[in-house]
Amino acid sequence: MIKKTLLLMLICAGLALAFYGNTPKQTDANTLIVGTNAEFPPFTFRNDTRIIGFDIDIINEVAKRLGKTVQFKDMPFDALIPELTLGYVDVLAAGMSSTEERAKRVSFTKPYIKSDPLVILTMVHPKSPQSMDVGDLFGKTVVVNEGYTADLFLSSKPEVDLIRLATPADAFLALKNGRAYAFVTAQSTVNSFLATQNQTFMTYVIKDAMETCSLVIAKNNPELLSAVQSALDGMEQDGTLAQLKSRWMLQ
Amino acid sequence: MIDLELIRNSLPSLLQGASISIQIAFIAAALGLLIGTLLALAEASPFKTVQYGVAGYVTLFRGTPMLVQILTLYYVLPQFGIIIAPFWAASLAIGLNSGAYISQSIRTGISAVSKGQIEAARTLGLSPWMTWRYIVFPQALRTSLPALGNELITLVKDSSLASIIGVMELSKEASIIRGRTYDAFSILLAVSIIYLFLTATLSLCIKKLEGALKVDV
Repeated sequence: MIKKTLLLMLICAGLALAFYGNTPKQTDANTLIVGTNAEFPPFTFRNDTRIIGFDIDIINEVAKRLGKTVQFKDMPFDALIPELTLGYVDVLAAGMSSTEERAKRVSFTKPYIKSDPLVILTMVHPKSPQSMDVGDLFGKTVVVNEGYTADLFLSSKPEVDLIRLATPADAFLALKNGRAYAFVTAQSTVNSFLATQNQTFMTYVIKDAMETCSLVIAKNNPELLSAVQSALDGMEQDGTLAQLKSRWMLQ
Repeated sequence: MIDLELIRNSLPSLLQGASISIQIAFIAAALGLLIGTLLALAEASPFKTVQYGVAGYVTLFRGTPMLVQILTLYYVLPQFGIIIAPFWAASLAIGLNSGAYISQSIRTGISAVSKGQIEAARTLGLSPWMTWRYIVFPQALRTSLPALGNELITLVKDSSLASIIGVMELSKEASIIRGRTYDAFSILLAVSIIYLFLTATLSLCIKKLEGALKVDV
C-alpha cells in the first residue's frame, strides 16, 4: 500500500515537473511576442535567467512607444524566420541582417546598426601576420556561426574550409581549443567576447563586409512594420538610439 | 508546397551528407560491436571487479544523453591536449554509447544459451574457449540479432546528432539549406526519404541475415 502510494506520488511529481513552465500564457493585442536567440552577445543574451542586450533594449523601447508589453520567446537562430512566417511571434529582435534571400520571406526595418564590420579573430601565433584579409584564409579551417552574416559571406568562397557551429560561444571555444585557425564574425561580437578574456587575440577587419541589424516583421503585417519603423525613426531623432549604442559600446 | 526544383538542386549536397552519415554509423557500429562483445564477455567473467567495471560503463553511457557525450568528446578532451576531428569525435562518442547497449543485447543472447549445453560441452572435453567459440557465441549471436538490428538502425538516425559539432552529415546539410532558403517542408521531406531509404535497406539486410542464420529445432 505504502509502496503504491509512493509510486503514485512519484508519477504525479514527474508529471507536475513535466508541465511546469509549459503552460501557455494569455496574450492579447497589447502584447508584442518577440522572437530572439539569446546566445548572441552583445545583441541578445542571457544574464542569469534574464534576456538582455542591445536588441532587447531596442525592442523594449519600441514597444514602450507603441504602448505594448513585450513577451520574449527564445529559440534557435534558424527557427526565427519560420516562427515569424507561421505567426507564432510578432517581431524578431535577434541582431539579424537583411539579406536578399531573407527579404523574400519577411520584411526588415531600416537597419539600426549599419557599420559593424566582419573581423577575423585568431589566436596569437609567433608568426601572426600584421594584416590579413579573406584571401589569407584560403586553405585554412575557419569557424563561423550557421546562418550568420559571416557564414553567408564565406560560403561563397569554397577555398575556405568552414566549420559551422550554432552559437558564438561554441565558436570561441572551438577557436581556443585549436579546432580552427580563425573565427570570422562581427566586430561587436568579438568585442563583447574579448571583454571576458585575459588572453590576447589578433583581430583583422575584413574590407567591404558589413554586418547590419534590423528588426524583422512578417510580410503580412505592414501596419506593424510601419509602426515599428516610425518608433525606430523617433528613437534615432531624439538620441535614444545613440544612447543605447554607447551603452552597449556599438557604433 | 513542395519545391521539387529546390530538392533537385539540393540533392548533391544531401547525398554527400548521407554518405558521411553512413560512414559515422558504420564506424560507430563496428566500434559498438567490438566494445559490446568485450563487455558482454567481461560481464560473464567470475571476477567481481570486472563485473563492476562493466556495470559502471553501461550505467555511464546508457544514463547520459548521446548529445552530451558528443559535446564532451569534442569540447572537453581538447582541455587535456587531445584534439579529435569532429567526424571522429562524433563517431567515437556514438560508438562508445552504442557499445553499452549492444553489450546488453549480447548478454541477453548469452544467457539464453542453456546451462546444460555448456556443461555438456565441458563434459565432452571442450576447453572454456572452445565452448564459448563453438557453442555459446553462435547461438548468442542468433538470439541477439533482432536487437542488434534495431541498434544498427538507431545508429543511422543517431548519426544526425553529429551535426551539433559541425559535422557535415545529412541533417546538417539539410539545416544549412533550410537556413538559406527558409523552405523547411521540401528539405525535411527529402531528408526523411533518404533516412527512410537507408534504414529500410538496412532492415531488409538484417531480415535476410536472420533468415540465413535460422535453424529449425
